[in-house]
Amino acid sequence: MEPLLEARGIWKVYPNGVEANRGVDVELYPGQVYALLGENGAGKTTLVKILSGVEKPTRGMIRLGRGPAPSSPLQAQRAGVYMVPQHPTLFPNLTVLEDIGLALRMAGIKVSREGARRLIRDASARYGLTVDPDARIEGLGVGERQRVEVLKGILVGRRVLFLDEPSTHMTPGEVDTLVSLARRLAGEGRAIVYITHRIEEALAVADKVLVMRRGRLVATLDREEASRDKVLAAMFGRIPGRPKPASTRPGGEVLRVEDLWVPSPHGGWAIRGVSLKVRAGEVLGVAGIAGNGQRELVEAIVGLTKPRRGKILLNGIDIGGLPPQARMRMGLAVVPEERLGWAVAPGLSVCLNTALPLLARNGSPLLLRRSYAKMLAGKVVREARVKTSGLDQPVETLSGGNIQRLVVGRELAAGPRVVVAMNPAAGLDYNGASMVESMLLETAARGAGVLLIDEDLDLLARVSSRIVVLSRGTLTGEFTPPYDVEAIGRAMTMG
Amino acid sequence: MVELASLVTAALANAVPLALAGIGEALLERSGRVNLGVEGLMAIGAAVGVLAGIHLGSPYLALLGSGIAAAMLSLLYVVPVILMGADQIVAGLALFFAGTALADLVGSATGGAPAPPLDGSPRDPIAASTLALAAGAMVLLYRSWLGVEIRAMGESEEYAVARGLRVPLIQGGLAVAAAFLAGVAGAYMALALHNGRWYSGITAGWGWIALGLVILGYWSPAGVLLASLLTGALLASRTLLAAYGVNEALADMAPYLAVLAALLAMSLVAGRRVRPPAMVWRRE
Repeated sequence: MEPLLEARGIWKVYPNGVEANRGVDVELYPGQVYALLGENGAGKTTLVKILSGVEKPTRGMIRLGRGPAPSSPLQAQRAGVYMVPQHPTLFPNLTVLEDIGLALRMAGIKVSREGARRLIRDASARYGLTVDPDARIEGLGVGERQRVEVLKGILVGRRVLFLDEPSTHMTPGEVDTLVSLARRLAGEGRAIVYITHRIEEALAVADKVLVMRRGRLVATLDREEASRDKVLAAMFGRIPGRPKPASTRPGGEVLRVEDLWVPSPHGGWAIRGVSLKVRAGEVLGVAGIAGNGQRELVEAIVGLTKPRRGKILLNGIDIGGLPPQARMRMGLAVVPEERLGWAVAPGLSVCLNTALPLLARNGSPLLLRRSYAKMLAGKVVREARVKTSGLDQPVETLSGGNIQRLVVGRELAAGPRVVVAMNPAAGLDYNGASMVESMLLETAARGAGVLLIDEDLDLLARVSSRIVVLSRGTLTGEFTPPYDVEAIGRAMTMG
Repeated sequence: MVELASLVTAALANAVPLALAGIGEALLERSGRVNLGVEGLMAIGAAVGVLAGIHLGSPYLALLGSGIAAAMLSLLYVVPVILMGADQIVAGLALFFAGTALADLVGSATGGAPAPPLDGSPRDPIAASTLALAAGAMVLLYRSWLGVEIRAMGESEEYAVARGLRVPLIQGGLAVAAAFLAGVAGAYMALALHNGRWYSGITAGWGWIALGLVILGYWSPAGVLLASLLTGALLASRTLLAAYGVNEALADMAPYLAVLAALLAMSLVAGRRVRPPAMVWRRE
């Protein structure tokens, strides 16, 4: 059988000197699902962008069937090769029909408005992807937008379909549906490439598991021979160990929240009478399903939202009326859920993004000493093992995992008394998540109190000294190790 | 009654050049680009229109020549901005100054002689063509796939490039087409509103007004047409107001105050449903 797509010796060197792909060979056959695995920055997205014509390789050869390489996304699409992007790139001002129709036209499928409507309706019924063709994109949620993208992928990617981390915005149930959809599409004679860094998902979906590390394709495993350990070993060159939970004896109280009431932006209360204490040297985990007041709790402690009632004490001092900057100066560090814009200024360099917040804690500097800033930033980059091409690289060009390492590293470098972290490992691969975990544990070991608000119960159970459960704005349980995960799960649905 | 009839005629005649220039610019802005040089393009259109009219004898050939001249001049904007990524604000302003200066050079060659004028009445085929242009632009924008492509790139150029839309081709084409219309608009001003005589500064800032009408018309060709009619009427009513003894300076101000009020009313009524192209005007 001939491959639908064949690539030989793909190299990609970006203008900033990063070698994202270093000699990748790959062949894609019809009827197969390929899981492309690798940690953040391993070169997965770059490879797929090259194969789908979005980017040109620095060198290497690509063949589509018997034809030559696509030199643009349009040519690739005309040949039935399509990439569903990780984050939807739909035009908010268009309707679903217009957006998909535009993609079809670009791919050389000449349809009228009604023709496009029929195609969308048929495909959405056939594959169980419900979309309203006349809905405006700007009114759709992330999940619905992803559905539109997948539908578009089905219609355009008739031969090779790349799914770039398609489960990013999905619930576990939706992921199962997507996995069976991918298998079904392959069964119809397409080649499906499913990019992910979740090993379980890869093993569930794939006929073949392709593993990338540092720009190289380091393993191609058949489904039968692929196991979690083998994949991990290929991804990291070794099986990484998990960090140990904080074992130090907790010291004095560093953060106390007393009878906190925070109104919800949607009316009613987001936080209803929460009281908690964090002592030095401990990690207090806050478990709960997203949307039960986590965000509002963090915002109140950080100083972005004004609570209606209650007290927040940092080292015994009431900080309830202070602006965020003052709280930071008093030893509060924050690792927010959204990195870009909240924790870093995307267009600024690694150096400024690291040094400025650190310097600002001791009163805003009037003049910036570049050498001092570089020294501060260099230390954080080294200690947090952030992969950059240099301190001048703009933060937005780092991979998600590297940005988070930088943020965590920077916040911890300020020597905080209290660290408030919300879903700090979300979206990170195995190595990145382990790194963030160890950094938080180390901070606690150095004597800071850590308040860790996270949706990932496994992570909380690994690192927390105690766990409280937040449900509908109140605390519905407190647990100590060894944790009864089922009981915690039950508490998450009470309140 | 005679006064009212002549007022309506004048209003329509005023609306034609405003709508021609405004609709072209509205289409361009829908694709995510702004050309601030409309005034300069209208100026060159007026000068070339009169000169061509004198030599060719036909006002319609003169309009065509003006459109072509303005389209060629617009390459001063298209090449640096759309092909080479230069700043569109600076390039647009440069086009304004270049067009105005060049217009004085071309216009002085007319020696003050008149070209065969257009009558500027509603029976004029140009007025009908303007209506047809507005209708055609509506169909293009909202009923054709090319229109979807235009609106898409005006919303996010980043996505448009990623998805392989023909960004430079379409933006460049629209910029040239808009310049053609602005050139015709300038020639129409000279031939229909000023009896075929050219003088320096003949376009009197109407190119800038057309830019404002794009906003007042909320980037919709039909909206721009309505805004042009309103503004055309207000500009025509200046003489009427002056005749009723209103202070001349105040009468001159009236159209602009009325447009400001209309703009306010528009954003209260339609502001939530219609949105300007994000690449042109971000409103958060």
